[in-house]
Amino acid sequence: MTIAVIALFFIFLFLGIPISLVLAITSLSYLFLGDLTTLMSSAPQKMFSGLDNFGLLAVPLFMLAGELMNGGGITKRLVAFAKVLIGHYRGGLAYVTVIANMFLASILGSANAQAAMMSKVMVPEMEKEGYTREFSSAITLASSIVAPIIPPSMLFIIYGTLTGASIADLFMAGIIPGILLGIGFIIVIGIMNHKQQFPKSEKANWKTIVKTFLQVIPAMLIPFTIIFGILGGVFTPTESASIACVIAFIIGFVYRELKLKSLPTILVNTVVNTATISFLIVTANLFGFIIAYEKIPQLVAESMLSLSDNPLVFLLLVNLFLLLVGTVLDGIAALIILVPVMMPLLVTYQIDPVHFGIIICINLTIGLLTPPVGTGLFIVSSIAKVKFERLVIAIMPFLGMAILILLILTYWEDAVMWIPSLYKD
Amino acid sequence: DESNASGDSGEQKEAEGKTYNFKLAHIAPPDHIWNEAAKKFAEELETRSDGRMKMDLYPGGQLGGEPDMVQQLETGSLDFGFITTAFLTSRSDAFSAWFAPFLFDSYEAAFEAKGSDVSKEILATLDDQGLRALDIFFSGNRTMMFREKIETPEGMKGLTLRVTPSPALQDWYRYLGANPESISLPDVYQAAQTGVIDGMEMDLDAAVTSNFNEVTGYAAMTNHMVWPSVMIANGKNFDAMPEEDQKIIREAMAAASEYATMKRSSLEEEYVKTLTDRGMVLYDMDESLFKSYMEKFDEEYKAKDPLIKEFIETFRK
Amino acid sequence: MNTLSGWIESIEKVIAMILIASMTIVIAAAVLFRYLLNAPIFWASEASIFMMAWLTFIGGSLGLKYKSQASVTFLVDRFSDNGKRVFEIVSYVIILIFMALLLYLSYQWVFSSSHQKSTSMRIPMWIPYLSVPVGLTFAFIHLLNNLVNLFKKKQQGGEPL
Ligand code: NA
Ligand code: NA
Repeated sequence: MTIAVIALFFIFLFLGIPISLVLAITSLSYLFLGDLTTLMSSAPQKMFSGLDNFGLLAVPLFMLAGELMNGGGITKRLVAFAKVLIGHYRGGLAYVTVIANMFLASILGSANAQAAMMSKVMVPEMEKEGYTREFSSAITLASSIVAPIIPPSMLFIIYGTLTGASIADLFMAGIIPGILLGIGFIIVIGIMNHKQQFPKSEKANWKTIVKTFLQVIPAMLIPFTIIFGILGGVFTPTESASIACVIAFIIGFVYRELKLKSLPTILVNTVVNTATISFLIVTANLFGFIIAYEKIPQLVAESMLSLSDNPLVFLLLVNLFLLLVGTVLDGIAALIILVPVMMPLLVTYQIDPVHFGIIICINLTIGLLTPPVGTGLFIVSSIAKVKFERLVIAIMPFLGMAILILLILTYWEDAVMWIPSLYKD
Repeated sequence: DESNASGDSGEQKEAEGKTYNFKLAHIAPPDHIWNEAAKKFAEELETRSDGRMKMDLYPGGQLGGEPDMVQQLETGSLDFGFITTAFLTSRSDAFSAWFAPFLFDSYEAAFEAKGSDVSKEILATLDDQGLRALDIFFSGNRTMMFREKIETPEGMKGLTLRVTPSPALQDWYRYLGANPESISLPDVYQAAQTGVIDGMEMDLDAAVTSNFNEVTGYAAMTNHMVWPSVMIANGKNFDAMPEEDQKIIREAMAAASEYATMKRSSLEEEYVKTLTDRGMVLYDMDESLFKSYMEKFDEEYKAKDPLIKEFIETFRK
Repeated sequence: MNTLSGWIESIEKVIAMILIASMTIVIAAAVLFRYLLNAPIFWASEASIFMMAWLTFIGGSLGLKYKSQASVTFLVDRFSDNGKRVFEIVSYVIILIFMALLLYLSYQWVFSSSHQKSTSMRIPMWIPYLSVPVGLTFAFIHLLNNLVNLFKKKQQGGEPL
């Protein structure tokens, strides 16, 4: 019976049915085939209760803040600022892409959104200075994966609501890994630069530096408000998101780029984009209920333990498994489906849920860069008009670096847990 | 597999030969006293029925939160659940009676009160919802924990305190002049750490397991409210059982309730010592200081439901 | 069919705008009230969770209409346009059958929830619960409309989707 249902799951999935509906349909089929029809009347309640979590409200709020900033001309100001800082070095614009992505990551929470925004701005600019389109697209896409690692982060919010891990701790824990990823990509560019001599821009004068700096300050209010607001106990991550919206709204008008008549589109987009995540949570909650009812997480835990009782071996196996999953199912969908099954394992192996959260989120974000299904690859290849296959080849050095950093962070727990530990004493 | 609980599979056999495979769920973690109550209940069922009644346990909210569990108890996806009175007040107002402040001064007193007629009448208010609330056990009497030492109820005026989102509990703090906030449990540590809240209403076991002593250094040992967990069965399945089997269940529950309540009571000293050793300051705040606020609570809540009135009048000395 | 689906779409958009705007305002106001006026809004978090439920089911319905919900298409994409259309029709039929079942279950669930009140505001739970059947009903109409359009296109000589 279980095998029949697993087969149905993959049939529905590969038919191209939206993943959210695949989860609901598979769940109902299971109840039918397994003669568990009493449980059917609990299905709507289980769907509804997937949303009964204050932390989840941060998803639409951070999305709205991002949409408001996007309409507000934030990207080009961040790029301009990074450019006057380091643009005049050899390979400067490549470094600018990484740095600007890190800045933007402190405002946005989704790699896909960020890859779309950045590739519109950076790829044409880099091409103009003489970089190849493949390389420009690859570096833009690779560095966009810091978006859900540097706070705020949709992935951390969802992981926190699924596991009960503190979202504030996850946010703080993401800072160092996000910076490490950025540094890793800078090292890759440095090595390539050494071999093939990238172009450089002209050095900016002091007046320009001051001007671009002043222009970027309002935008940087958002990350400062989020990080110091949470660290200082002014508000919870969810509340910080609503304040970020207020700030983004005001900044949009300060920059004179946000128009009142574009507000309805922004609001509707936010709701539709939120629902692509939250509707998935709704049906995954039903799916998770059936998995729990049949005690599948405990079975997984037992068979894992029979393989090894060493936490590090376990984490390496998890990483390998997730990288494989990430080739066909990336980001939030994979997170929502897999985390409920893996939770009991954390207790068994005594792994900190925050450390695990960082590992699993980086891993599934890397999935955005791996073929055949890599959402990030799709987005950037269509926006920057690069052939999918050529982008895949160009991304390889960065993909290798991201996996290396994932492994370092898996082993080196302190790098993740240091900042959250700061406000614990 | 035939894990379905209702026991219809045994129809061919004699009624007394009927076997059951029950499912019990609750929201407390596996190492919590609630789960000990659940294990004890399962053991008692098995021995008292000579192995005919087996039970699968789902601790830690595996099947969902309290609204989910109660819905599953209504429909029969679940056979038994332990549900807090704090949640049940949203199903039936009468359960608020248990939150009248300073009504019981020990676990034993509360345990005795559950046998009273009025307590049984309150349980029976769930009957027409397809639920059979059969018994109660007690754990986690409420204390108040603060970031700064608060010595009188008046000192709580204007403080933001984390209180379980149930109107009776929140109203009590409003009467005291505090601002009750319902922050979800995983966020409480950080909220207290950073000062989003000035303190919380909490029980000692949670303070021990979640290290709340690190973020709230002071605990007023008010023990002002008890924390009853109601043992609920699915109505349809329970009513369909032969009387002897119903009796086995009731007796097994009573044994589990006594075991858990008394065990929790005996742990009180140990928890106090653990928290003191960790550097938390535990102190008394006398009941008499709260007199006018208690009167206010009694007056407001007696008016809400005749059963609450009867309950308070029976147990208020 | 197209008209009905379009009409529902406009209603959904208006509801969506109101929901997200009020949710943002309520949560931001809750912070201000706690700090500036030292008087927390006790219903803020429960009310916003209920708004999130409505937002999810209304937004989910719109997302299904716009086909913006994530799906795995790399296998289907290997087929010709006609092959893809067959897969799409099969998918829609499967979805609609299960959606009908889910609709039945969720209306039954809402009508049986008369005993319940919310924990903090004490409003009847059917108010947030109704988001499930209403959102799914709207989604059902959009999906049916998409299916009808698929058949229409075939009659017109099969334009690629
Ligand atoms: Na981010
Ligand atoms: Na991938």
